[in-house]
Amino acid sequence: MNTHAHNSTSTIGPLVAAPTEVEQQGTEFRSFDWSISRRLLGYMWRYPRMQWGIIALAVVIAVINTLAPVIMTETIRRTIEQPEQWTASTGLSPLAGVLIGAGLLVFLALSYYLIMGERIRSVSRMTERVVYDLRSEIFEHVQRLDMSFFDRTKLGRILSRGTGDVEAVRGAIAEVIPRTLIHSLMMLGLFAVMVVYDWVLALAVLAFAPLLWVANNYFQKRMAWAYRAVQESFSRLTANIAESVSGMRVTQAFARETINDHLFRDLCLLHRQRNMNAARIHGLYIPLFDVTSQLIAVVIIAFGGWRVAEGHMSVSDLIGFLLCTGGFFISIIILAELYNTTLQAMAGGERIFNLLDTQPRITDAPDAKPLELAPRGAHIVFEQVHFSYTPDKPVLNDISFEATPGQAVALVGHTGSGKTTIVSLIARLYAHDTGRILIDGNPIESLSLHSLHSQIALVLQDNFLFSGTVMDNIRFGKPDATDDEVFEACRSLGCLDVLERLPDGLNTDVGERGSNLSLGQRQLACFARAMISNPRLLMLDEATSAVDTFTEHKIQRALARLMENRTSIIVAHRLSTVRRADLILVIDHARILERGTHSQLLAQQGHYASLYSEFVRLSTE
Amino acid sequence: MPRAIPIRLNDESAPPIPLGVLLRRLMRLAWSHKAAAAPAIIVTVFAQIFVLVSLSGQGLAIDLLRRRADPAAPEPHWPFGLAPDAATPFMSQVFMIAGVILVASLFVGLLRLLQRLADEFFVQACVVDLRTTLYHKLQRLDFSFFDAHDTGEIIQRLTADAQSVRAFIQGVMIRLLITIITFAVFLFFMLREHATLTLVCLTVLPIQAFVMGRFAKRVKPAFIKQGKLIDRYVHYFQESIAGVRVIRTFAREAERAAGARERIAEARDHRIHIDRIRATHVPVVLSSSVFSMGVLLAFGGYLVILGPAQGGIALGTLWVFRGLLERLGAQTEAIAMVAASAPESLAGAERVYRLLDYPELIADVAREQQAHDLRGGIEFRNVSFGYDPEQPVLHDITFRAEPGETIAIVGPTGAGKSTLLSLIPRFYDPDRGSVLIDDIDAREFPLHTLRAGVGMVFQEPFLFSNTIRNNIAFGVPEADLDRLANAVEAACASDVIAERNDGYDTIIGERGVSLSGGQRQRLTIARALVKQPRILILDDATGAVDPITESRIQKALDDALGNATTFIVAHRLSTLRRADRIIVLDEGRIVDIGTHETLMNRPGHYRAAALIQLALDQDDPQDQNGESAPAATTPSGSSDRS
Repeated sequence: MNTHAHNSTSTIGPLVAAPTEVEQQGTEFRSFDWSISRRLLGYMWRYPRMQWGIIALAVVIAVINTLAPVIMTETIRRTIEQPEQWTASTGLSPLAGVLIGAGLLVFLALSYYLIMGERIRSVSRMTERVVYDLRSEIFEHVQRLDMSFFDRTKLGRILSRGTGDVEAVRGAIAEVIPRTLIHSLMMLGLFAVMVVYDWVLALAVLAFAPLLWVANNYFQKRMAWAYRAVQESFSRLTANIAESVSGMRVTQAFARETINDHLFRDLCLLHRQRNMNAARIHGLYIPLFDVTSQLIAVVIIAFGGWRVAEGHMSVSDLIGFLLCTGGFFISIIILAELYNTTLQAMAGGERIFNLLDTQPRITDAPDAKPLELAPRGAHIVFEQVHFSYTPDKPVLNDISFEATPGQAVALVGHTGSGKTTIVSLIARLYAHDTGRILIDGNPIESLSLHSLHSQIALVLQDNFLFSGTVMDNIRFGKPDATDDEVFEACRSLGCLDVLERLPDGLNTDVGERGSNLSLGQRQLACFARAMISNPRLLMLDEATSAVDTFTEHKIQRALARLMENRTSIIVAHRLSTVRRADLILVIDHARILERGTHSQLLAQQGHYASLYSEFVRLSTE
Repeated sequence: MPRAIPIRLNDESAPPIPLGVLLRRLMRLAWSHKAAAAPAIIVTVFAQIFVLVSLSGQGLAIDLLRRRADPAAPEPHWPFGLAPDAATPFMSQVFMIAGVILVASLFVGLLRLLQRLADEFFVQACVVDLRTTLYHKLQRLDFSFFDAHDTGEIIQRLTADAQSVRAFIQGVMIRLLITIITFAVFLFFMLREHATLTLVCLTVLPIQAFVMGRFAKRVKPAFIKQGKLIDRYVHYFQESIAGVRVIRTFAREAERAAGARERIAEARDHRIHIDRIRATHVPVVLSSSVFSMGVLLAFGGYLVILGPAQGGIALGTLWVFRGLLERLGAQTEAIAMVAASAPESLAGAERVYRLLDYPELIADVAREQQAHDLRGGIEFRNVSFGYDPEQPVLHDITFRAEPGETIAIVGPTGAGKSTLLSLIPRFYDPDRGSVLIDDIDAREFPLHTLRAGVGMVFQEPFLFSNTIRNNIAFGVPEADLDRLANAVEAACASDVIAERNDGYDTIIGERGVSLSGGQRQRLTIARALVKQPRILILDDATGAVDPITESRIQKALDDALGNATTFIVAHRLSTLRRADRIIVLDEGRIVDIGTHETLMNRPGHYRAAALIQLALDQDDPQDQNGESAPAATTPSGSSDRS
């Protein structure tokens, strides 16, 4: 079967489109930037006592790491190499000397254990506080940004500020400062010890340091890129799997299994190739430290051997060298790694700060006043309002209308005519360009956002529900509502029976974005959420999709109840809604084309009348 | 003959795969790539031998120099009788040793590189094998498998669990092998040098292994919980962005921020908790290298003072022991982590093999009939079916559709309309009775011929995250643009493509442009039409399309597919009128069959429903619905958003 599959996979597109841009994986390098560092340091110095504690511990650790090889070397020197002098000066046997040295090392090991433990704890305490500060700040800042930000920024991008980027910064905060300190001090200390043992050899060893630094940096960077490529092909593999599983019914219905097998195999092979490539670079890197330290051992033995033979240094000095160079060169590698961690953190930090520096365009004016509560519906006036999302594409052109308290205004027109935008402007999700929008006679920009939003309810077409139960979602409209109030809101909408028939009644979990509920049930829950907040102004974007007859009936009744005693502005898709409206605005290409009641508009024989007759014709054809 | 339902993959009551069987299967996977594994082993052995050479060289150099500085010191011990004759100048001897170390360490470097490559080559061979086998298997599992398991769960099997098999091969099998080889080579050498010293020095290693093993065991659940806490925060963050309009217009920013802080703080506190565990365990490893240096110095120092002549050792040997101990410490640490991670990766492997063992219920048994053509005749003969055979969804369904007929199926939600349609392309086999394709039992009919000839439009308009072109050409990847354009035209989807700058190359779905439910539905219709199917199945395929467009699609379909057998589930009366016959389904039974006219002329479900519809039309022509029964609480799972 499937004779065409094998040969043609090269011409067949992949199952999932390749990502158009490589997602930021945190392996990005940025050049060192002082302003970002200073700002990150600022977060850390919010906790100065912890910071000083960490620095103090770092110094102690560096000292211990320097002392260990010195104790070893000196014990060998005094008790094994020069036992007579030892016994002469201390009166102790060489064996006692060895045991003293060993005892000192064991003591050092114990204190090292305790101090390292304390270091881990204190670094963690400070780092996690900074991470908390950053994450909360990001969250709160995002919550204040205006809609245009969300329109132009993909959700995943925003999320990665609070996840991947914060993680990159965390790595730097936790490790960079204390470990840089430890290893710099260690290098200094160990180098000083080597100079004391034999300054000529010490200088010879030092010459290797820049070499190792450069080689290490080179490989680190190449590895980062190679593993980024691995990551990329892996996420393609994963995306392909995810998509295959979600679309498996389609695949089988279209008898595509064999082609998909081949496509998947190609992706596996690509991933393998990238893994092998990364392994090649990694394979060169792994022995870098080993080989370098062996090369240095060769230098120490050859050159040091000569110095010993000439009587310039002793065998213990040579052993000391071999011991010290290990710690010395491992420190270089670690410092180079830390440098790369810093650069990665810079990239993350920069993105975080860019987000935090994005200013919301819609904020309370300095002299903003609250919208007065009134017992009747809100009074809305549009005066020659113009608006566009992008400068050259007007979305609303010279819109003027008035909704008096208690009136229902229906907005009718094609998709993209600008109906939803009118609603968004009244909620001040966007700021209009010119003209005036008055709420109860106040220019909308003079009102505090919180008071405005507290008195309106907006029901969107997507019927967005948060995860949690139906009850939680309805209570979102009034967080302090009792269970009884929630039931009452549903009852007054006439939809309590529908929601109570759910598996766990109102305590049913709505699932991801309400997926456990049918479309009609989601809509009713959103209505109840709006109802319980008891708004003075209701704005609603009706859903277009068909639901079954029974639920449809419920929805229409609930909507009528919801609109009672309040001003409402409805983006209407149902003729029943339109007919009930006190004022119908027919919007077309950013303008109001016709206005009036249902019967007035039919009498006009214009655009509205022709739309209506098309519906009627369709249903009786 | 009631079908047995296979045990779900994640069913706790399923008997576990015995550890022995599991290990054998993993070994078999590895063994089938043994040719790739052999170099890895050989290279490892040689790498460790060269490490020994290089270290012994250092030891020898120390002894040689010590003897030179202090004639009372013991004679250096040249291995393998390599001792130079007395005439060799002292510095030449030193340089000779240095040369050997140099060569040995270059070899170590080279072998490490080869070792890494050989590892990766072997692992990749196993992993590609495993992944493609899994994927192949997945594509042959039938719909009942996908009904019984969450998408996320299945994806987990193919990604995370397949990765844990990789982790087992790379992290456990190979790691274990390297460690065993290293220990064997080093211990052999050390015991030969000085058995007692070896044993004394090794006492630290078990402690270290124990602590690290305990650490890994304790920290694992903590990390799993950490992952959940982070998920909780990310999920909350994500929802707060997706629902930002709702939050804002209900003025709930403060409550959301408080909720976020609570979640972030939870993650913070747990992370600090994990670090507390780290703080008591990890330093053991760090300080144990200093500690074992102390132990080595105490006993080894004693032996050096004793001198080789009195059963002690030379100073150089002490140095060699130090180097080996350091390396063994690193190996011990690694093996402790391996031991701790093995149960987890074995659990993943078990889940992978469960999937591979899952029975394939719908198999293509009719391979010998490949030349068969599909004409499009369908007959249901006393078909009964239930996803769970105990709870039948369809009872005794019998009807016949001649090639080219249009059959509409109506009935309330849950009547079994989609189920009935899904038996035609053999997504399921009936429990009783039979579905006949061109008078041949569907179970005997070549599966590929059948499915290649059926144009299926599902209720859920699933599209791949891909270009519009690749999506529409999904069933016929080699189709040219004309063929695609015709299908798009018939599905009234030209505007969907025309209004995008990239036209057919527009990427849709998660990573591209998001389409409305109606737009997606029209593209899925086009996708089915490109196949030029003999049988077209439209399962409520236009629910999210506006009524004007829906009737345009109906007309276009009539023109495009005059001779295909068409099955259609629809709500709107205008669509039902076009059908040759209408099957009225209720609670899994056919309650009536006839044309619109005959059904309207006799009392029953259809007329009642139609009358209510017409009444609703009077009120609201825009929303018509083919369902009369008030049974609307079944979640429809509809994802229509525009």
